[in-house]
Amino acid sequence: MRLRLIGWLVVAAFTPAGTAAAQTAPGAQVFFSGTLDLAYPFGGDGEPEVNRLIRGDNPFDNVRLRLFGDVVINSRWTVFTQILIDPSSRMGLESFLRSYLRFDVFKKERADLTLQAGVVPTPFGAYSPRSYSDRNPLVSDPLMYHYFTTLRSNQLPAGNADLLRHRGQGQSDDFTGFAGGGSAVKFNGMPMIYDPCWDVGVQALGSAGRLEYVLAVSQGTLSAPRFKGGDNNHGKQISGRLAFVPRPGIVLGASYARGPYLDSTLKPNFPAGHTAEDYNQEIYGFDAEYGVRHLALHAELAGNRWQSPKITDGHGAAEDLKTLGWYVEGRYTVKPGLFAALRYDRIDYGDIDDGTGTGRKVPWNYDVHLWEYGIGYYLTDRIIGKIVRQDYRSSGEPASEHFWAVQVSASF
Amino acid sequence: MRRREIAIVLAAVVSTPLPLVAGTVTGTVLTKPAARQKAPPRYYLGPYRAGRGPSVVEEGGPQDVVVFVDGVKGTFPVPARHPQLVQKDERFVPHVLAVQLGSTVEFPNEDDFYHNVFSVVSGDRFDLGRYAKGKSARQTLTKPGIVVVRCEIHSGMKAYILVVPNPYFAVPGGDGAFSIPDVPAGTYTVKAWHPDVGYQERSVSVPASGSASVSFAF
Repeated sequence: MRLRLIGWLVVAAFTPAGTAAAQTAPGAQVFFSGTLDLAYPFGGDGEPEVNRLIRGDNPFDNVRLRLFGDVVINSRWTVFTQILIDPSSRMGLESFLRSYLRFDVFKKERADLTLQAGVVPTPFGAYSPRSYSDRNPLVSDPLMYHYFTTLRSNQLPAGNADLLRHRGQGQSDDFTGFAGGGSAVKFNGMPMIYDPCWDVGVQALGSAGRLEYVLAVSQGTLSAPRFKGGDNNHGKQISGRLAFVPRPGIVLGASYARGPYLDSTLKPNFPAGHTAEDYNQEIYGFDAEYGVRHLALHAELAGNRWQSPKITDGHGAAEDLKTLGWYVEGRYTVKPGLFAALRYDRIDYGDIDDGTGTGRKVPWNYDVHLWEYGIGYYLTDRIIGKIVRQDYRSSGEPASEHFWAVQVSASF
Repeated sequence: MRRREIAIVLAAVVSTPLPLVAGTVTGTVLTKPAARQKAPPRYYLGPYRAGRGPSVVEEGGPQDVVVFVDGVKGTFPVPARHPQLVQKDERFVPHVLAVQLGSTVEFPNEDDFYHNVFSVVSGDRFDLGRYAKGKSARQTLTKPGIVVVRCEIHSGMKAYILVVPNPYFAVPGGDGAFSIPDVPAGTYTVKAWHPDVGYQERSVSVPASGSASVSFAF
């Protein structure tokens, strides 16, 4: 598998961008393109750990190469494939491979419908299309799309006290987890939405007049996508987004997703009569976009809850684990080729009973918030240089961190 | 009175840019399959609006070549008519536009969503900001050479403007044929430019009347 991937990548790397590299079937064409990101964090408190992703990669890693191979079979059928090569990651290339088949059902002046199946992009919120370095005016991803909580899909906290004892550890590679059963392998917790990891599923998307829509069914959930290895339970996630475009430059969207996130292998640890399908991640979100002249503003909010079998309200009743994530982001073109950008970003955790019998309520994880701001400059029409500063604040330890970084992003 | 009339006639003769003798440069441009590219769809940007995204189109054919006569002496009035580079279906149309130095180019948006035209590569750097369907922005091009035009919102959109020093230029038709009329008699370098291949040059003697022929192959 790995050899085949490497071969594919070599072909991709040496093929001029945008050329029809091969005829795979009568009339079919293959296109290769990509982005190469070089980044160098410096100053402040060193490694930007808060930005680390599940596979050990990180938007601030020194080298990240993303390759796209699009096979246009005919005017209605297309296969889209992308892969990320990040030498700093701890997993094999196959962990970064995404591919899906797309079928354009119809495309009219005021409406269209497309079906997609395979490892499909995140059907929630509005950030996914802007996550690529040539579209992101900053370097990091918003916290709600990657920051790890302490919850895991393959392990359970034994109770409220056990969960609270591990606050702030979800971002660590050495996190061995809880005492409530399941895998004790060192691994990170789950984010609210793991945008870089797509999910196996089907999507219907398109537009109708001033409305845009996407509806998806997938085997994993937003916090625990299952893009390989099959489903981890017998439930499916239903998710979707509906957006209204009152006029060009303004987009208002609402998203929703619900699905079971725990592994079926945890069943022996569930209360009698319960299965993994009884414990869901449920998340709703709102997004807004406003653009005028040289200014672009984006904002998103997502309220999320996980059901966990052994978390109670202190009186024996089940209590959900809630998080609220939101960010606002602005980008302004100062002069041709030069722009400034800023994002304020945070996740707040809901209160749960502290498990001591006193009835005291405390957040189940440490709140985090982040400022990132910087400037970018088009060195050429395909190469953008950015310099950013990131300030991290947490209600746990460390209470604050900051660093600077430069990134050069080339698309080809 | 007679002196005044003579003075007017003399002034008109001196100020007119057109020579008394001029010929036509005609020819053909051939583009081989290797020079013609299929523009990639670049759908990777995400699921939204994908259904309205661009389809695959061929670029780099004869219509994307500019032929112009270089080295013609004189000053040339800027045409009053503004050339257009239209934003439609997430593409710039035409893919290659040729304009005379000093021209003001219009960039009308014919899509239902915003575009943001900018250029930072060479020549005049400009960023026209975001604007909606039915609106247009304009930019005067004051430096000769290649202007690479992109959209800040849709990274797959790309076009070229070749700013040439005089009005003696042409863009071939689909069959590759072109004609540049009213070229002052003389020996010049005729240049042809293809966005992916670059320049080719031919020396041409333009007769006082009639035509001179030249051909290019990319």
